[in-house]
Amino acid sequence: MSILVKTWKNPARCIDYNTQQWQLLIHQSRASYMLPRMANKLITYYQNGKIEDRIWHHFSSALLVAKRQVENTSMELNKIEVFFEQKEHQAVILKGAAYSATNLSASIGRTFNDIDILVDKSSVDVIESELWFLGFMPMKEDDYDKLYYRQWMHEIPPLQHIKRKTVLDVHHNILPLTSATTVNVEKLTEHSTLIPGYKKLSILSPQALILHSATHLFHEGEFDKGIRDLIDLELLFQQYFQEKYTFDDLVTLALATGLERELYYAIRYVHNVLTLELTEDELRRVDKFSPKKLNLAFLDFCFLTIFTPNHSSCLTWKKSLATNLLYWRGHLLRMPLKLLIPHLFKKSYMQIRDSLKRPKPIEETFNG
Amino acid sequence: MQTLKDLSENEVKHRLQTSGIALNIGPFNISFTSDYLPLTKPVRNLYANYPLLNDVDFVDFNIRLLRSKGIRRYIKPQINFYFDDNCPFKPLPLNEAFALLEWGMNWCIGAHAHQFLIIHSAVLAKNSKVLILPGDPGSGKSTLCAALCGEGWKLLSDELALVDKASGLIYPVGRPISLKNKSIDIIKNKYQHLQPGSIVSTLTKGDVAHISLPEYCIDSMNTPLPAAFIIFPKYNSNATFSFEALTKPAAFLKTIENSFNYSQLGQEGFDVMGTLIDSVQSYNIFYSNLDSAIEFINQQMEL
Repeated sequence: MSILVKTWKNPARCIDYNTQQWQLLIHQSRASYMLPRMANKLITYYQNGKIEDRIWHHFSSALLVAKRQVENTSMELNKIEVFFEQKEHQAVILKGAAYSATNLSASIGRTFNDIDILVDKSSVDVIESELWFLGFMPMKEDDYDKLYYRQWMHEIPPLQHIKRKTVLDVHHNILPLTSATTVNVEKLTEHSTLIPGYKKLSILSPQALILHSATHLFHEGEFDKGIRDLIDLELLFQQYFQEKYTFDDLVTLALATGLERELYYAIRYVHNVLTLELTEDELRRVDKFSPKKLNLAFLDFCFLTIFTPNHSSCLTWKKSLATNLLYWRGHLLRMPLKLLIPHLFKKSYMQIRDSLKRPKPIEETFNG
Repeated sequence: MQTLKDLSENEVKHRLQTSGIALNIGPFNISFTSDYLPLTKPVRNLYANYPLLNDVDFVDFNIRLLRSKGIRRYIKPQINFYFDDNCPFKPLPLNEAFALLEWGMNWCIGAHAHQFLIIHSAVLAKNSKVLILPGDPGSGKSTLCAALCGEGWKLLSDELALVDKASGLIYPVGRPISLKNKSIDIIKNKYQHLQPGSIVSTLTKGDVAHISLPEYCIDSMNTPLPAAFIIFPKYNSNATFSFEALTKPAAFLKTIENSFNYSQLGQEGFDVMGTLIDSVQSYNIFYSNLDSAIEFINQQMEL
């Protein structure tokens, strides 16, 4: 087990760490987007004088950056709220921005790159064109990319604010339209509630938050943030049961939305890799959502290997293999082969064409 | 205490390829490895007097400089900068390896060390009073900094002012002084004791050469000092020397523009910056002649 997971499960261990162990913990955490979250987990040990300043600086710097992001996100959401109020639109805020806006425990020290919002499919075009007035412009220039998003994806091409560079992802579904899994989005968003202080922006119900997070993670093809996302699920589960929501409600919604397999994966891998306190009976109840034995053995190999820190100290041949297998699995889940193969050909062609067309500029490095 | 010059050339080469050259540089411990052995020479010349770390010391920044693989090994060879596993910059031509190491170290500090308010500036001291020289590229900051160092000032850093959030004191983080283009010859001719190492022509910044930090600056690297002046130099080949005193608000705004992490620090950044600006006198200076700028700065320091 990696030092990151060990420390996450049992932070008290850190008081005995030597220099090398601290360094490894910092490296693994930073590479896995977990440094600010780990900082929050360890802060009491620092306050009790168990962690040297010299080491703590790395954690506190990361925590500071994460805090600034919370403030910036809240500012962006306020602007979107005011705008949506004028235009009479509404949206459900998803993932990182949603956790942060409602102070869920999953939000503490969780950084994210973009704000994800879910809107009604019928209003996507109007909202997109109106968001121009707020300064959000499309990032993707290529015609093919645009077409790809419009035709097959569950979101429009990402928008970016021209000044603040904030990236806004506008979704109308939670999985690509070409995905073999169909999600009942109406059911998923049915019990969404307004974010306190807002009139137009909502957050998914506690059950739906877990299902959405699981769906996102287990349909993913790239896992550089895998351990961070699995820890999201752990924290969402923890808060869910602490606030006395029932296991029954979770299973009911999973069945109603068609996401019971995703719930099964979430429970299985959080339970196996991290900590999830469920009774034997509860664990048995989701067993029937499991895939076939052979398929499950394959996924166990992939996921138990991939849910480790995204760091060279955890890189094995197994992990390289799992990374590749999951990459292909991710693609195949997104679209059937008859669409995927032409798409990948087209993308490879475009990459080669672009690399020949213009040499990449050298990024401005720090002034010397 | 062991310094890099206590190691033989072979030992430096060996460490560069294996465990790393691990040095104490002011408040940071930095270690770097590389598979590009010609780095040994500038590293030995320019870091000779820096203290070596022990195995048990905590390393803040682990850096690797690795040559690109495949066809780039032979045609237009390149060097890559890695901070731990992360590769934040595009590769540079191989001959810029040492410059990349220097820029990369600045990035590591500027992007991660938020225990300080960090200002992009040269920092020098005389009589235990600190002078901060912020400046955009082309302002003549580096040349003026090297010249003051040639006049016997203590150099705290040619690139980063580290303002401790708790005490407001400025922490030295002196490393080789980087000179560009014409200023290389100007400094070489004016100060015999500051001799730049070999000149490297780079893609983005023209010719670059480094001067090693005088030993007395390295010896006092762990002593932070209070700030006394912020001077914004503006070199212009036609200018006759002039200066203007800046009001506190003007100095505040100009210094923010030159800060790497002011906005990251939020309220804390505002408070630390406010205390700093309150405690210093600030000027704009316009000059074409180095000596007149030096004379003005010396006068201010003695008042």
